[in-house]
Amino acid sequence: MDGRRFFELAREISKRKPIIAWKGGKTEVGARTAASHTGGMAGEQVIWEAVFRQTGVIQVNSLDEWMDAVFAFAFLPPPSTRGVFLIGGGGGSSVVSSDTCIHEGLDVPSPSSATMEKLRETVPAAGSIAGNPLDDWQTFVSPDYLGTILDLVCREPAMGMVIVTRLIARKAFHMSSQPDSIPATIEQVKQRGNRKPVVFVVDSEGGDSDLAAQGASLRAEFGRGGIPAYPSVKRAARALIHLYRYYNRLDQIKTLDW
Amino acid sequence: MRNDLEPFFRPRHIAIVGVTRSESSFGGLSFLQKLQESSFPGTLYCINPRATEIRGLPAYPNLSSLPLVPDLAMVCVAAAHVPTVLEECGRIGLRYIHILTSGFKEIGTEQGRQLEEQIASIAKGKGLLIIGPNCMGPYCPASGLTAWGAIPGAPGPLGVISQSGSITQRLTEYAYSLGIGTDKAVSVGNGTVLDTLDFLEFMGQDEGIRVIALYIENMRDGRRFFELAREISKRKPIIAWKGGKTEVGARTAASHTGGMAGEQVIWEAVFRQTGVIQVNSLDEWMDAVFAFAFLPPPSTRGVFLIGGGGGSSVVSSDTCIHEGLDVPSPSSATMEKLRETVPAAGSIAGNPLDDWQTFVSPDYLGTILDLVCREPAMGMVIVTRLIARKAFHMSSQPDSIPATIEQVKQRGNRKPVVFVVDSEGGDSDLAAQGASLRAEFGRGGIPAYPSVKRAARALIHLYRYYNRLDQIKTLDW
Repeated sequence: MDGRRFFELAREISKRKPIIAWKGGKTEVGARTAASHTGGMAGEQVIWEAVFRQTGVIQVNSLDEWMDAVFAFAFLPPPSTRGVFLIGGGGGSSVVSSDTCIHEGLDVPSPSSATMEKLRETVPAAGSIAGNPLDDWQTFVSPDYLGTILDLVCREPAMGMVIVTRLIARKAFHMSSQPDSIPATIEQVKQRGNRKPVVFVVDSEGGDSDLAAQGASLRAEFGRGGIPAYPSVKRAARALIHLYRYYNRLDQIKTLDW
Repeated sequence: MRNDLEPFFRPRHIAIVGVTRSESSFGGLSFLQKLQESSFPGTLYCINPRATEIRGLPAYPNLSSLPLVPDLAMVCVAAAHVPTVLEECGRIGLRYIHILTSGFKEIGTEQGRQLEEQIASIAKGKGLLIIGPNCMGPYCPASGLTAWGAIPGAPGPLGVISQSGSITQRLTEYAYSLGIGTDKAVSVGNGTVLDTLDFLEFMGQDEGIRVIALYIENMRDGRRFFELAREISKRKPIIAWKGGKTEVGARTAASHTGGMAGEQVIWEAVFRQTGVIQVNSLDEWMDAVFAFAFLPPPSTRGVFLIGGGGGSSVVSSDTCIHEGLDVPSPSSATMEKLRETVPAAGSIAGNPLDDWQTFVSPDYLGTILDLVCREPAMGMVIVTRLIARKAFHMSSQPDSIPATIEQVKQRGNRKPVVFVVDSEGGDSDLAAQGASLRAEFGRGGIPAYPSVKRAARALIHLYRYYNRLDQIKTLDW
């Protein structure tokens, strides 16, 4: 790699479109393998990281993270803040989703008192949690209800993005099988005109091939509808923080007229 | 000694208190339905004063009118009625009680708090053992007690203790789908009478349980946790996921189970000092359970990578080292052997090994494993198993998984060997294929992961746990 030319190209292109880079051979062993693979020596990890940072290149470290970032950048508008509103899947999951998002660099701001008031009108007091994260089973079964929640979020300046967990009804859970509401759900998101990035999480991990097939086709259905869908909150959060940082840097560059 | 909790998991007569006739929302009826679906081998009694029959079973107006004293009551009535039911349990001598109902301390109202105090004081006065409120309660496939989670599930080495019902359900299902059974699981909810610590002590002593998975949001007695965890960790791994580590997470935990989550830094120190394996996501939790359930202790942190292409070999090394493993160079004797069989062009002899023959020939893979077993620097092996598909230039292969499993098994589990089968994305056929391949390895007693990153993370947990045990033994700690 001609490092200087890469630096200049990357810096210019990054202002116009995201470059999502996966650098192989960052560790000494990786570099040794890279030498046998393509015959070149991979440079020092620390130099590469500095180059990526200074040029605005989005750096990823695995195939999944690469694809997850591509998914986000291909479909989502710039987020206005790093605050995320979490629409959850159960009490425990809400707790750990917050942890995960914050660990990845996002914020999980408290809703304004006006929004809290609205939420308390519709969220059941027992067995659900009104707030951010929102734990309310109605978001799973009613696309219209999800739509009204999205409206509330769109009016909250602190919430720059939304992650919605979509459970798959199955035996392990006490959920009756629901009619397929994905087209209606996609419609609800689309109606709100992509003002804030909205992504879905559909977990289908494990060795159950029916569940895996269902999860993959649900995520693909969201994807074909122009909405990124991820297999875990962790991966959704990582993709969104890449999205936030990229556009946030662009804003700063514009301000500085860099 | 907490040796009085076993009956929660072996009930023969269960009373479900508060079964509605029609399904309105989640409650007693859904528990009854699940127990019937999973052919619970004992007797189920429905309590509902306004019904005579529910789902083919006679309904009784109250616990006192039952023909016998049940072994376990599942209480599903509204929060305000729970104290009355508990008083009745005390009168008839029913000591084992699970309260499903929510609407107590966790909703943050004065009434909720008072009701929860009443539960505690009735339990104390009458000597009741109570799981809950606000939880899914006990689960035990061996006795047909599967009102939730993987149904029917399978018995196995796993014990789960959790402050979240949905997370417990998901873990039992996840584990079952990969061929790992659950001995006992319990969702403890608010833990008003019996809490995480009681079940930790119990499962620590339970010889059927070899791996304990713990989901914690808060803890009343940190000192007791420390002492229990330190002792139990010497005998079996405790894999803990702490929810509410961040401030926001802790705020949500307070609304979820009504307790305040402690400081992150304290928890991390406690886990480190007690040898508890700490994980941060459902996948990482399950991946570690998978490794600990099946693998022997690794002798070193060095891993031998049997790869899937040149680029993948490069990044697999990066990933393993990033996760804390080593990727040592093979000895010159091994390199000589490898050069005899690995094609010079298009493959890479070394560690990682990139050689297509490992995909197509289980016997060849076996000879490579023999080489690795003789290398003291290699403590573990990760084998990438590609799925033949259109995107690659691979012809479809006959199914070689049984032969592959056989090759690994023949080498007697001397070094941990895991597989990676990548089936990411929105292609449902590929996803289904990947899931069933991983499950096939799992049923064969070999952990299989969807990515090198996840395999490497599970293996570093395995290495660190056993390495700490060795150090403790040396120090006679």
